[in-house]
Amino acid sequence: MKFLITFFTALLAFPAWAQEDALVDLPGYVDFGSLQEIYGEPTVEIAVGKSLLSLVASFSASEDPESAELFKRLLGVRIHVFENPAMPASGLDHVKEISSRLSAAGWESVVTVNSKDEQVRIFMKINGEEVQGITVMAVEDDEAAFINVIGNLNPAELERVMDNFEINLGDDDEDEDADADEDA
Amino acid sequence: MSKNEQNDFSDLEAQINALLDGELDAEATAELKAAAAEDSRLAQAIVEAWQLQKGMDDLRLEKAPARLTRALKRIPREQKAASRKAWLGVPRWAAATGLASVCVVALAMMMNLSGPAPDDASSTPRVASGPGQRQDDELRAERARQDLVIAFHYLDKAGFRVGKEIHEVLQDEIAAPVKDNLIKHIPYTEQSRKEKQA
Repeated sequence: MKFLITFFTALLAFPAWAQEDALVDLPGYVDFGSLQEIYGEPTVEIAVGKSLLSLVASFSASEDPESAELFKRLLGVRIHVFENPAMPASGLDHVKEISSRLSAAGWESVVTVNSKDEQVRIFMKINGEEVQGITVMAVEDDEAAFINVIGNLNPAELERVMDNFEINLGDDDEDEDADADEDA
Repeated sequence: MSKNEQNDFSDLEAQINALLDGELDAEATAELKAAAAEDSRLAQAIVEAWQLQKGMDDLRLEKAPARLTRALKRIPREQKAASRKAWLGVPRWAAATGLASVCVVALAMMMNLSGPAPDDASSTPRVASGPGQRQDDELRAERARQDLVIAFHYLDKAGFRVGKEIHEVLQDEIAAPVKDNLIKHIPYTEQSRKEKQA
């Protein structure tokens, strides 16, 4: 019994890097390079692999079949977020370097936003009629987010799943204003 | 289950919780241990409760950033507000679609979306039949689901930025016509791409 307890505890504490290792060889995987050397310690670091996605799909099949269908087709979801009040200038160069590498590797640039205070890049990897991955890099003054969704993903479906997850589009500053108004 | 059995079960549950919280005195602890030594179901219940507590403790290790926590706390109210009005004045087409619609347009330009995506039946995982293992799977699934909520939040945020930027550049008046024209143009663009590839 002790062995089982230890085993399950180890499973629960299974680190994100182990999930990440399993994703490296997938065509929709993106190597973001040494993010920590540029941005410091991540605020959020998540790697959900195929086995966990399938598990979530199984448990959500009855109450949320749409999400379950999407999760079945996903192979991995990775995210690195850095909240840093002094975002390094090399951060933008890093985004450009990854963008060049992705373009060279056959990723399609879907959206590029270059504004004074933020850079957003969205890439998609497509093979025939199948999406193999979506990558989002968003860098602003105090936050950088690197997202890589691996698998056959229909963006319209993703939007519906986001709705089911009750995630709202948001801008914190404006939200806080709304909070203040409501409190008043 | 009779009322007496229910009461006994509640007492045991309270004792197990107190044991795990370190609040059970030495005498009661000894009694519970003795009972568990003779009752394998009670022993299993204690082990499962411990596993659950350990799992919940592990869940708390990954603390969400303060900005995300605030944003998630606001979700219920915002969901109600969103149904009443367009979100913060951002045009509906930009706010509602965000990343997804931008990707759809781009994707449709590059490929034919008519065929349904293949379903990977082989990805169905093993779901344990034993209660303890199922509990463990549920914990893992819940933790992964929370991770996905966080990941999708940031995807959503990036989509919102993109939608906002497009709105600022194109403005309301021309945004809709441009979008309409683009969508109407997609079949020809796709045809042209295929011809070029051929």
